[in-house]
Amino acid sequence: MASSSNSQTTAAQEKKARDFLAQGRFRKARDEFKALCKIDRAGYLPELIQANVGLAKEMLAKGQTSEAEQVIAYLRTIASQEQLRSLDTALALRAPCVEENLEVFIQQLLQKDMSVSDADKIQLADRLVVAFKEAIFDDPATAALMAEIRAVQEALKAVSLERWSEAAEALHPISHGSCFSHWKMYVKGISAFYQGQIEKAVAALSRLPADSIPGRASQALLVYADKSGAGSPPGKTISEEETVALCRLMGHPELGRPLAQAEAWWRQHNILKSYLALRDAIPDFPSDDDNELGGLSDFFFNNSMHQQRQENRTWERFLFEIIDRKSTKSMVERRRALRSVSLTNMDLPEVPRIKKDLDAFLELHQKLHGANPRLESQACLWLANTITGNITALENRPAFQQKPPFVDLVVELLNRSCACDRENLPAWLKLCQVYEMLGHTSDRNRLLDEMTRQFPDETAVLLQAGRGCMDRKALQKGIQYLERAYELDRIDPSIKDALVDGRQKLARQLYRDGKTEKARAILAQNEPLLGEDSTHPVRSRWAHRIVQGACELISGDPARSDSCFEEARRLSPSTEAFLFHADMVCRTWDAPQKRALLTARSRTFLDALKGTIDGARVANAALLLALRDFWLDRFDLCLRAEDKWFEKYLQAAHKNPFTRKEVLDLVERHGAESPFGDCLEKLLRKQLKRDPLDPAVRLALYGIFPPLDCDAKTVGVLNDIAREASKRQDYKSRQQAEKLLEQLKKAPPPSAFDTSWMDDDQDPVDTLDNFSFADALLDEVSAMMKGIDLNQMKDFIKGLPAAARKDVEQVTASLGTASEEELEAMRKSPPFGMPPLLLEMFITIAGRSPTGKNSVPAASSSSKARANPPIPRPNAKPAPVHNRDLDDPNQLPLF
Amino acid sequence: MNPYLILGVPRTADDRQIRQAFLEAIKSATPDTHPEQFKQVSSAYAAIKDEKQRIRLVLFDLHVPGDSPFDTYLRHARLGARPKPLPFEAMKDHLRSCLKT
Repeated sequence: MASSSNSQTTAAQEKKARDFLAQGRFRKARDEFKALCKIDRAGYLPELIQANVGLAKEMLAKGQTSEAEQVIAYLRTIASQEQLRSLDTALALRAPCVEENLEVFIQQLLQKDMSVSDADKIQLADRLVVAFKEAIFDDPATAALMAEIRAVQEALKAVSLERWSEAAEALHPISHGSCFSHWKMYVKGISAFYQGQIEKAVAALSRLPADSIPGRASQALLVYADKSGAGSPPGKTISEEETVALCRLMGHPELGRPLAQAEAWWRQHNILKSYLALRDAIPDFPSDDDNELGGLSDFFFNNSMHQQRQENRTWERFLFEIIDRKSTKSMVERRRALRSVSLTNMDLPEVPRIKKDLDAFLELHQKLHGANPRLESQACLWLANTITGNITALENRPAFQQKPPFVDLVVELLNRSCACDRENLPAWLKLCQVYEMLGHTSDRNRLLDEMTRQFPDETAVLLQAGRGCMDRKALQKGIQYLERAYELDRIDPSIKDALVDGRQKLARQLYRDGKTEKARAILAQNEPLLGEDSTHPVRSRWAHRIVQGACELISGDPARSDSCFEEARRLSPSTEAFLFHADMVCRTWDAPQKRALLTARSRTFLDALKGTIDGARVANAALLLALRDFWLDRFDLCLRAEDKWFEKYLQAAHKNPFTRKEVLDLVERHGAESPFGDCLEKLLRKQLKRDPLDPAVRLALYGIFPPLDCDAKTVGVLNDIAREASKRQDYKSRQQAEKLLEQLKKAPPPSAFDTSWMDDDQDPVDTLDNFSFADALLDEVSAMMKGIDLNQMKDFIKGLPAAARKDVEQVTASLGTASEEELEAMRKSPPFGMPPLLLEMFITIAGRSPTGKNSVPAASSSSKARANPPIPRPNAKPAPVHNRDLDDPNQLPLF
Repeated sequence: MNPYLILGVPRTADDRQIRQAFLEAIKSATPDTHPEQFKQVSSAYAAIKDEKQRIRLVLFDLHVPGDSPFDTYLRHARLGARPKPLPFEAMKDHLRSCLKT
């Protein structure tokens, strides 16, 4: 019974032990087989050896070398030498000192049986090579092995001395199947690499066993050679070892570790620590040299413009700190920091600081790289441009508005820029522009005279000078400049425009002075410049004939005048265009003595224009609206009455037939921010009824009313338009839809000269643009109004500065010409949130009868009132100051 | 990338030297054979071809020469002179450093 019970126990234990062995749980298997060996040593010894070998290998793999050595020592007591060979190899490969184990390696490598794997042989061969140890052996097999090792070493030495053929010859003793053949490949690869045969090198080096020494040594060279990945292909991170190895191979061993650290910090989005890793470790960093350190310096100092806001702020704080505390590492770092903060901090309030930093930068640059007045000139011009920012902010400034901030600095900078480099034409032109915008006419004229002497052959200067002369009525001189500009550049349309326009002005003056023949001769000189574009409001032949017609009219030759007008009508692309343009020419003609004549002529054109409304065509509307814009820009006119008529015209055109092309053309040219958006929308919707999926028409609607938000509906519609456009092969519409989608999805791109994206605060330039002295005045007066009588207010207005008084007079003039209905509407909802009393005061001053009541309800809100203002903001464009109605040309005086 | 390095001219080079370097560079990198290299060389030339451009580069260049510090280093290393083999002793050290125990 007992024997049967024992055998059952042994069987169970054996099964358990074998299961452990099969599962790779060698320690447990060894313990079980050790116990079983006590029962049947001969029967279980092979398994015990197997379990111990497995355990030793496991320990070696885990780096537990001393523990493995104990197991192997035990194995030596129970296993044969052959059974232990692979373990001996593995143990030897992990020995820290290669030289001491040379004999072991050689013995292992010379084994003919299969106890040492090919992978282990490569490892052994690698160790024998990098030991670079000379040994003499009598045994022929060992001697042959040593000859191969020496061949590899000799070849490596030849490579280091750039003796390529010697290296190739040295490799001859290495046979094809040798365990050193990968070294042969390595030597061939690096020889090709250093000779510039990159493709050949890559072919050889990429075939090396990855776990071998040549394989690992090649990695840095392969990274260098892999141009497609630029060193950091997506998904692949360069290891610290590879970075160090590459720097060593490139001859910058000291850069390896710091660069690896900088890379690691960079990948964690920490620019500052990344920079500091290099700054603290490399004495010459940052650098201005054209080398790797210079490149890395550019990388950090230029990167701040492209980084996320938070990362950028930390970096900027650091730069400000080292500048302010004067703790920069070197002059190079200070120069770079100053440049960086100047370029990236362009908020208007920061201007004094930027100026200070820029001056410091220029001073340091001079110290480091020598004086360069042209550089200083460019820097000053840049800062002046930066301060002025959006030029329209100054252009639309009301005449009485306070001086824009830093304008004196801008003028100073531009003068300095011109002085540093007399040939810096943009600086001169900019200064001229600034003087013009500020209304410093005499300064501008003086400057233009100087510029024409400095740049006698610059068309931009001659054009400016010509225009300047025209403005100050020096027509002959202006034409001379423009003719010179035209001689130099016969293509620039702006020169041709200015010249034709200038000659027309001179001709008018001559006609007025009675020098008819001379005037005709002057106008005839314009002939070669006419006719390129039949829709041009100045240089089309018909437009020119209209001017000639008006001139002949005031010179007293009605027959000639009629003939010119008739020719103009015939040549014009549409009757409406001719009539409107002719009316505007007559109306804006500066000839007080002939006003009655011109008014009468104008009336005939207007009457005829009214008659065209029934035949209104979409095709003709585009030119009409272009002419409207021309007159609006040219004389800063208000065309309120005309706009009403244009609206009627477009509504009439809506009823008449039109083509898809015509409506699309009209919207493309006049859709964006059009005051006739509603009419254009109606036209498009009518077209859309004909083809509801038409992608171009649907996009045109977006052109009139651009989507503001990237909501799901808008995205869906735009995607749908893009799909439909693809289906119809309308690639232009598809591209437009995709572009619109992209614009909606992405934030505005950062620009070096636009800082609004960098700050939550309102753009200071916008503030400048929106600032209105009139608003400020009204706010102040509103507060003062309670309890003050009208006489006091009149005194207050008299006491205003001349410029402000002029604008107030402009407002009152517009009130004086407003209809009773308009006045009533204003009383119900005073413009700009104006207190009713103040409105009544203006109405009284305007000579209109006041209500006598001061209890008119105040505006619900100023913003509401401003949404539909009947009174213009002074100098605002278009300023709805009085205009006559087209139906009643005599209602109000002409312009 | 640094245009001086791309064209292989010093910072003190004048217009003529820069143009000469550009013409030399595009001899070996024509638009047909090496379009990318040609583009790079042309951009480099445009950036420093005259004094005005060179001044603009000093004052306003915000070009980032790489995607990361290592990438920047590598790009510069590739632009520089072809690397030379390490001296034998340094080569031994390099190979030994690749030995994993």
